[in-house]
Parts: sequence; structure tokens; C-alpha cells
Amino acid sequence: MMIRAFFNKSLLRFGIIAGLICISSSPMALAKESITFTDVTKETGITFKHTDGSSGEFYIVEAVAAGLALFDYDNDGDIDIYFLNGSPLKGTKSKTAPKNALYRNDGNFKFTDVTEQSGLGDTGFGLGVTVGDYDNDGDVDVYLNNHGPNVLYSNNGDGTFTDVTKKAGVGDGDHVGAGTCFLDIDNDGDLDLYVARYVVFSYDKHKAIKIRDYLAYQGPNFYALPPDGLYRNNGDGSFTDISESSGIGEYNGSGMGIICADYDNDGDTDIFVANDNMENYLFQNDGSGKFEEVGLMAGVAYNFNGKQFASMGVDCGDYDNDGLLDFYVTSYVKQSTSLYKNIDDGLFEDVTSSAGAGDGTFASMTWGTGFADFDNDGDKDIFIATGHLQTNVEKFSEHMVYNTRNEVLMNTGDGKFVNITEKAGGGLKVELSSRGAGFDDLDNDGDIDVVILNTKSGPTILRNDTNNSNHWVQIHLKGTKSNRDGVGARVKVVTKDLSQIDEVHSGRGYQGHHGSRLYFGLGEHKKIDRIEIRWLGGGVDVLKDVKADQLITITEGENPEK
Amino acid sequence: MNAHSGHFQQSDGDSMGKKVFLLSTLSMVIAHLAIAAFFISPSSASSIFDVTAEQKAIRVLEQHLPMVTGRLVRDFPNNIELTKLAVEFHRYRQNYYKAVKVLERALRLNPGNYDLCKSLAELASENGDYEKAIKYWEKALSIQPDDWKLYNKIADALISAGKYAKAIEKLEAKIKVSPLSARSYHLLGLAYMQLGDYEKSKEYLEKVYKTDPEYFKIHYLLGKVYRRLKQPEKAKKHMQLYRKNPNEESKGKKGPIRRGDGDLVYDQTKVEIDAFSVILARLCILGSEFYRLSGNDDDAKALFEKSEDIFEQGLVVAPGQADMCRELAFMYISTKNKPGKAVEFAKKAVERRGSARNYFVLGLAYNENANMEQALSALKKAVELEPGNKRYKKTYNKIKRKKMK
Repeated sequence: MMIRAFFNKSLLRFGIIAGLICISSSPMALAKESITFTDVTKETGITFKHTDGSSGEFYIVEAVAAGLALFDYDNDGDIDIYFLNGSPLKGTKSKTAPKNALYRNDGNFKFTDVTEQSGLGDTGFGLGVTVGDYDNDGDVDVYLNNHGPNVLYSNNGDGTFTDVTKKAGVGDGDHVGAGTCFLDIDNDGDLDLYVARYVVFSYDKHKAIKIRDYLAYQGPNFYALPPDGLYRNNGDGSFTDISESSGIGEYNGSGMGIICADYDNDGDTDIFVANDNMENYLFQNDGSGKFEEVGLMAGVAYNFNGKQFASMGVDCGDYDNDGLLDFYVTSYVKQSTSLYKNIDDGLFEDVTSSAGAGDGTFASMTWGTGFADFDNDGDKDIFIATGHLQTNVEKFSEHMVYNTRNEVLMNTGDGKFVNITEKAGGGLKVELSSRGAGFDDLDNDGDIDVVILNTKSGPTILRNDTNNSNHWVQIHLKGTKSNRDGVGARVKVVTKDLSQIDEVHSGRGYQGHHGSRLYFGLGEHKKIDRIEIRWLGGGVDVLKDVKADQLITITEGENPEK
Repeated sequence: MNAHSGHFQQSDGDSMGKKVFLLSTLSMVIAHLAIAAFFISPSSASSIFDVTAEQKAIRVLEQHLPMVTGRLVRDFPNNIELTKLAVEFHRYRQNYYKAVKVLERALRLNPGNYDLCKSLAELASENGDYEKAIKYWEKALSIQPDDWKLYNKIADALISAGKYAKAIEKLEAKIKVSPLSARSYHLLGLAYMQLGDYEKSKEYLEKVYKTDPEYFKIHYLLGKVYRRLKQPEKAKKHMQLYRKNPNEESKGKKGPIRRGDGDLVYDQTKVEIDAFSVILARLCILGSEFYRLSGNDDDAKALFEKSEDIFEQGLVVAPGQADMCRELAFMYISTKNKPGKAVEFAKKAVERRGSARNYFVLGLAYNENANMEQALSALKKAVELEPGNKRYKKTYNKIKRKKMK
């Protein structure tokens, strides 16, 4: 009897202590399993090494290179990887010309270099990339926004690509490139092209800074700034420059990352441009391909207090599952990242501080980013690629370093985030100077993995090893009336108590592309009540009672709303 | 003075003096070897061949300054000015953690010091550590409850930390003790906006505009709040006014916004050498004075000699350094040591860079040597180069009057 009483008391004590621990801990402690990433780079067979073309003169373009793309180039059902590379700048000697690299996914995190046979080994100075089926022929094409002439590679459907830039008319002169996106500006069923430009650079106008008598990179403020470019798809393989007539050309800026999304839910695609060291632009589409810049009024130009940041990358996603797309923007060191919550009516509120969405980012320079539900619990987490811009920062700063650790913010499900980097596994211990980052399910196991381009170094491939039993669904869209990739289509996934939205984007994050498939974590739900797809142009498809844990391909018009 | 005194001191006994001389020569050789080794060590990112004179000068200053600051802060733990100089040194090196460490140590020894609390809070705020900033501003406020501006500082940090309701509480507490300023209204408007109470936000933001029509920044928030209150015309009006803000230069519409006509290479190096030289000279001037006042002339002398030696080492590796020459001259003048050398180094500074500041110190050096004619000539040049500088003008007039007498 006494033993039993003692046992009960012990249990009671244990319960009280456990309860106290739960109450006193951060929301992170309430989460079931922490997100975990494992660095599997060495096992992948990927040997790519990024070069920034530097000669010691500290040309501004070196510091901002480059993005990467994740996409299924050969339509074999798995996501392949395309890394951008620099090329020798004035004064740099190179025995062999560095080139971009395409790695075919052979499954199980094994990749084969198929650069040569694919014809995608561009030798231009790579900065930005996007992927989309501009000719609606059923395979994805690649556009490179270089420092120097840009290139459009058309996919031949047999694993090879052809440079069709001249025919398409999208070489875009001789600008310093940045982010780039395919989007359908006028809902006419083909993909148009947005091309961000960073600064007006030439070797004779090159500027540098001397810190402690060491040369270092100068910011965009010391350069003239160009307007971005917008090209309308003529539907015959060619494009027309409509920068001026669309309203985009009126605005000069230092464009970096961009994303196109229907932030105001009016059925057309708008454009967010993250500008470096000046206000961000938000171009609102009137539905016909004419744009008005509304960033200031919408509340995304500056931070909550009207302070301008040096924005780098941008992603969008509905982090709080309220049916509205929010934006997340990365920035310079000693500037927090920014979370702009969409409060409807075309307005945003900077909720970075109250949501904890900038935790641990103030001390780092942040670049690639993405909203992704890494633990499939039904809300989107955030990944942030970091790394200092000044290659020699350690020479003139006592506590800043060039190579830094990337960061992961876990969504706690109540509109808040917790920085879990310390507990996110060995993959987050890697310290390099990261730029672009992409998020896709590389091994088709239902969770989202990460690929990071590290400047002047090899990439990092992180396998998602989060250990939980949450369910998921992945959706791949095939447009028939609208563009073939479904770019701009809105998907709503409803389970019992969980309603999530997402949109197909072409070009996002820091000058890269990922997420042609849409990913939805479902938590404990094994079945989806309803999947609704609103295609650009107005068509709606609806699927009901769909089994979880599968990749579904949905073709426009095959499941019309009844 | 504590038991550590005598660190800068040298013995004046004869044989002892020889030993000390030998030891000090040896230690100097070792020190120079250490510097050379530092320059060529594999851990150093550059080889000896690509380290410039300026980089060497910075390294000399960086190597010795921590010792000088550490020693002085230890010997005079209650002296806030010396602590602040030590902090300034770490701030220039962008080492937030060391600066905080120095300040927190000083605060432990001087727990009721308002300046230290404020410095800690400002440093924390600059580095995004808002919780720490709030803690130290609160402490400063408890020490000086009539410093109304601190309420704004605390509210600002609370807003940056996402604690909007607490920020409002703080500002409402201020209303009870002092009338609100435009800045307080601004913060109240901002906090209410973040909480989604747009009517209240508008009420306070309008008060900013009425209190201070030149408060341009407020138009951005007014534009935002009117847009949220679905009054687009008013929103547009305020956004347009915000655009007209002379300080608002980021808008890119219609043409390139920044032409980039500056120098090909903007050199920040001299800013740092200048700053470190000023810190060293001030440390020597203040430290010597404090040692003397506490009856320890030997330590005052040793500090002076150590500082002189650091400048000389710097000038050996970077002979063209105007800022080091000027600050060395200023140190001679202010400590009333070697007035002849003050003129010599001030002249060198002017030869290397004919700035108003260098001419001013040359004027002071001549004055210290009772050469009023030359002093006035140099000071006149300083005034001509920087007519708006009241200090230069005042010194010039003072010496002029002295000469006339």
C-alpha cells in the first residue's frame, strides 16, 4: 500500500515537473519533433564548385553571385539541380572556362553531371535563373539572367537544350542581371518574362571601398541604377520588350531577388522586387499586363518604421493559413529579415518582431530564402541562407566572418516562429558563404530537402531527416488553356481543420527557382477533403476525398468544379 | 590606485636602470619580432609583402591599445571617460561583445552610473539586442527619473522587440510625468498601428504633424494609416509629402537615383587610423592626469612613454601618417611634455595633409612654445579652411588678444 502510494506520488511529482517544463519552455518545446537536416553533399557525387570570376579588383558582380534552379529537366519524376557559375572578369586568368552545371537526379541522393550532353553549360557570368515552359510544349525551358548577355535555353524534350535567345529576342543587352521570373501577365496562356537588373556597371565605372587599406566591395549606392525589363510572349517563340508600355520601365532600382504572385487575390499575377539598399517595389497588375508600383502604399517598401533595407532575396507563402500570400525578405548584416503579413485589401503589415521571424538574422547577411513546411505539420517554416558579402571581412572586422551558418525558423502554428538552427541537425552546422537556396523533395520521400549554392565553394545538399509521422501531399499542375506549368495557378488544400493555399511560381528566393511542385504538410490527416485549383484565366478544378502521402498530377479541365 | 600600479613604471636606480634598459631593449626587440611574426604568420591572411604601411600602422595601434585601455580601466575603475574611450576602441573594431564586456564590468563597479547604463543600452540597441537595451534604459531611468527622453528610447526598443502594448504602457506612463513630444506621439501612433488600432494610431500620428510640421518621416506612417482606414486620397497626399522629404532619396522613379560620381575607391582606412590615434592620445592625456592627481607621477610618466612609443612604432611603419603625427603632437601639448617635439610633429602632420584640424594643432603647438606669431598664422589658416568651426575661431581670437596685451 505504501509502495503504491509512493509510486503514485512519484508519478504525480513527475507529472508536475513535466508540466512545469512544458509551461516554462518556449513554443519550440511544445513541438513534436524538431526539423532535422543532414549534410549529404559528399555522398551525392556532385563536384560542382562555384567561381565568382574575381581578380582582386572587387567588382560588385562577384559579391552577389549566384542563384540555382531545381526542376525536372527530363520529365522523369525527380528534381534535378542546376547551378549557376561565374566567369572570369577583367584581370582574371582561367585555364578552362567555368560553366553552369546540370546534375541529373538518379534517385536516393545520387546525381550525375549531365552538363555536356544537355547543352546547359553556359559560360556567361551567371546571376539569376528561372525555369518555365515558355513554348507550352510540355517540357521546361531555362532562362539565365547573366552579367552580360542573357540566354534562353529551349528544352528539346530529349534531355538536351538549344540556345534560342536570338530568335526569342530576350538577350536583354549587356546588363548586370539579378532575379528573373516567368509569369503570365495578361492571362493569355503563355509565359511572359520579367528580368531584374542590379546596377549599371562597366569596368571604367567600377567602384570599390578601402577598409583598413584592404580593397572591398562597394554597394549599389555608388552606381547608377537601371530599370528592370519585361518581355511579352508573342506565342510564336518570340518576345516583345514591353518594359516602357507596361509601366515597369519607369522605375530604376537595384533589383535582387524577385517573385511574382497574386498578392491581392484578383486573379492576375503581380511582381515583388527586392531592391538592394532602397525601397522594395510591388508592381500591381491591372489584369492586362499594365503595372502600377504600389510598394509604399501596400506597406512592403520599407520596414514597419519606414526604414529602408538592403533587400536580397524574397519568397512568398501563406505562413498563417489565412488564405493570403505573405512575403519574406532577406537583407544585409545588422538588418533583420522582414516578414510582411498580408492583411488583405492589398495591404501588408511588417510583423517580423512580433512573429519572431527575424530571430537570429540580425547578425548575418541573409540571401536565399523559402517558405517550406519542412516538418509537414501544416504550416510553412522558413529557411535562410547566410554568408558575408566581403570575402576578406575577417581582415577588417574582429567578429564578423565570411562563412556563416544558415538558419531555420520553425513555424509554431500560432503565427509565430522559433529559430531552431541549433537543434536542426548536422546540416545546419555547415559554415560557408551561401547565396541561392532551393527547396524541393529530392528523394521523393514526402519531405522537402534543401540545396544551397555557396559562393566560391561547393554546394551544400541537405537531406530532410525530420522524424515524424506527419502526412503530406505534393501537387504538380498541367495547364491546358493556361500555361503548361500552371504558373500563377492557386491551389487550396482543405482537410478537416486545416485549409492551406499555395501558388505555382517560376523564379523566386535569391535569383533562383524551385518548387514547381507544390508541397502541403497535412499533420495527422490521412485524407484530404478537397483540393481546389484556380487556374489563371478563371478555370477551376476540384478534387475531393484524396488520399494523402502521394504526388498528384492535376491537369486543367479534367476535374471541373460542379 | 590599486596594487597593479607601476606597470608602466621604470626604475631610476643606476644598475637597476641598466638592467631595466637591457630588459626593455630586449622586450622591444621581442615586441618588434612579435609584430613581424604577426605580419608573416600563416594564420594572417596576408603575407608581409602585401601588407601596406597603413595596415601595419593599424596593427601597431590595435596590438597596443587593448593593453593601455585594459590597464587604465583597471587602475581607474570608477572613471567613466576612460571606460568610454575603451568602448569606443572596441566599437571601431566592430566588436560589440568586447565593448559590452567593458561597459558591464564598469557598471558592476559603478552600479548607479547613468552614463554607463545609457551607453550599454545604446550599444545593445544598435546591435539588435533590444531586450538588453530595454533593461539598461530602464536602469538609467531608475537612476535619473526626470530624463523624459528615456521613456521614448524604451518605447522604441519595445516596439522593435514586438512588444507594442508594453510600449504604449511606457508612453502612457510618460504622460503622467511630462508632456509628450512629437517623438512620443510618433511612437504611440506606430505601436497602435502595429496592434491594428488604426483610429488611435491616426490620432497620435496627426498630433506629431501638428506638434512638428517638419517631422517628414511621419508622412509615411500617416499615409499607411489613412490607407488602412480606407481614405486613399489622404493616404496619397501624405505619401506625396513623404516623397518630397529632402532626406528621402531612395525612390527610383524617372531616372537613375544615384549617379555614382564619387572616387573610384572610397578609402575608409584613414578614418580608422585617425580614430585609434585620437583614442590613444586621449587615453594618455587623461590617464597621465589621473595618475598625477593620485600622486603617482611615475605611472603618469610610464604611460606617456608607452603612448609615445606606440606612436613612434606606428610612424616607423607608416611615416606618411598625418593623423598619427597630429595626435602625437596634441599629446605632447596636452601633457605639457616635449613642446619642441609638438611643433615638429604638428608640422609633419600639416606637410602630409594641410587640413584645418592639422593647422589647428600646429597653432596650439606654436602657442605652447610661446611663438604667438606662428601660432596665429597656423590658426588663421585653420579658420580659413573651416570657417564654421567655433573652437578654431575662439582659440585664434584668444591668442590674438593675448598677443595684443
